[in-house]
Amino acid sequence: MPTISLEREERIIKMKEVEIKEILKKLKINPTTVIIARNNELITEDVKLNKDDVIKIIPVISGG
Amino acid sequence: MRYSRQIVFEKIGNDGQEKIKNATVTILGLGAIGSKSAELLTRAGIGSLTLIDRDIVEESNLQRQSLFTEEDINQPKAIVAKNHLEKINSNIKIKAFFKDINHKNIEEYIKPMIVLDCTDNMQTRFLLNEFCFKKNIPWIYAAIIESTGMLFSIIPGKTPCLTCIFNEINQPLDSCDVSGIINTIAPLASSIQTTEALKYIIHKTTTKELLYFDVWKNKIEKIKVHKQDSCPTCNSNFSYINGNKANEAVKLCGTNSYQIQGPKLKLKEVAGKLEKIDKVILNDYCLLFKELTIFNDGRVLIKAQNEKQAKSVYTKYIGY
Repeated sequence: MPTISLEREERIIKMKEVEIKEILKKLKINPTTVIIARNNELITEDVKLNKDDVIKIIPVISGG
Repeated sequence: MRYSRQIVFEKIGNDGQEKIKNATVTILGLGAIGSKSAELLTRAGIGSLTLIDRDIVEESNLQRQSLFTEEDINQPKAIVAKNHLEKINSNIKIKAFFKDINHKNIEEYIKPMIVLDCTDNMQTRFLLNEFCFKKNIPWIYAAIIESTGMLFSIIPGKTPCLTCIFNEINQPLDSCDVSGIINTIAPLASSIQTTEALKYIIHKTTTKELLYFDVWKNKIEKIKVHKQDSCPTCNSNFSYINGNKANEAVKLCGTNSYQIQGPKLKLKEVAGKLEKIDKVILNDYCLLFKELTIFNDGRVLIKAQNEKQAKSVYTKYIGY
C-alpha cells in the first residue's frame, strides 16, 4: 500500500487507494489547495501510484 | 569599501558587483518577504528598485515586517519602505508606488530585469505569471505561512511557470490570521529569494527546483517540477491579464480584511459625509473610518468576516 505523508498535519498513513484523485477525495482534501510529490518530484492527480510509493501532500502557500 | 566583503566572495567578484549595480529589480509587495528582500538588495548595492504595495502599515505588521517602525503605522508601505531604504543606501535609485496591481495597470508598473513576487494572494500571482510570460520577464515566486515557505524561480519559456505547478485555486487558502506565522520564516524566504535574484543577475542561473522549507523543523526540500503540455499560460491562453478573472473583493492575507476596487474618490468629500456619522482620520494618502481604509484611487480595504459583509459595508458607506 502507498505511504502518504501529510506535511501539514505531520502524519504518515497508508492507504489502499492508488489513484491520487481517490486518495485526496478520501482525505477530504481539495486538489487545488495542495501539491503532491513522489520521491521529491511533483506529480499530477492522474498518476497511479505503485504499492511501495511514498508521497507527500504539501499545502499550497500564498501568504507574504 | 561598502561592498568589499561581497566582492571577495568568489561567486560575486568585481564583475558581479558591477552587474548588481546595473540591475533593476521590481518588488511587488512590501510585507514580510518584500520588506526584507528590498533591504537585502539595497545593502547589496542593487542599481535600482521599484517598490509596489497597495497597503498601509498596521501594528500587527511590526511583528514580522522588518523595515517598519511604530512611527510608520497608517502610512503607505511602499513610501515608508523607500524612505528607510534611502537611509541605508543613498546610491540606490528607488521608485515607490502606493498602488494595487491589476490587469489594467500591470504593464505600467511591472518591468524587467527581474520581479520579486512578495504578494499575499494567488490571484495576483496568477496575473503576474501570465504577464511575465507574455513579456518574457523572469520572476521569483515566494510565499510563507506558519513556519513554512515555498519558492520557485520562473524564467519564461525555459522553466515551468506557476500554472504548470499550481492548479487554479478554487477555495480560500489558509491565511496568517487563521494559521499564524512565526517571524523567522520571513527572513529565510527573503534570503533565498534575494540570493536567487543575485544569481540570475550575475550568472543568469537559478535553482531549477521548487523549494519547500520549514524553519521550525530546520528543513529545506527541493522538489523537481516539469512543464505541463496542457498549461494554459505556456500556451498563451490567458485569463487574468485580459480581466476575465478579476475579482470584486480580494481577501488580504493575515487580516480579516477585504479589498474592493471601485471608482476614484475625492477623499475630502467622502470625509465630509462620513464625519456626520463617526470619527474620520484623513491624511495625504488615505481616509480611515470605522473598519474602512479608503484611498483616492478607489480602493477600499474593509475589515469584515466574509466577502458579502465587506461588500455590504462598502455599499453602506461609499454608496456605489
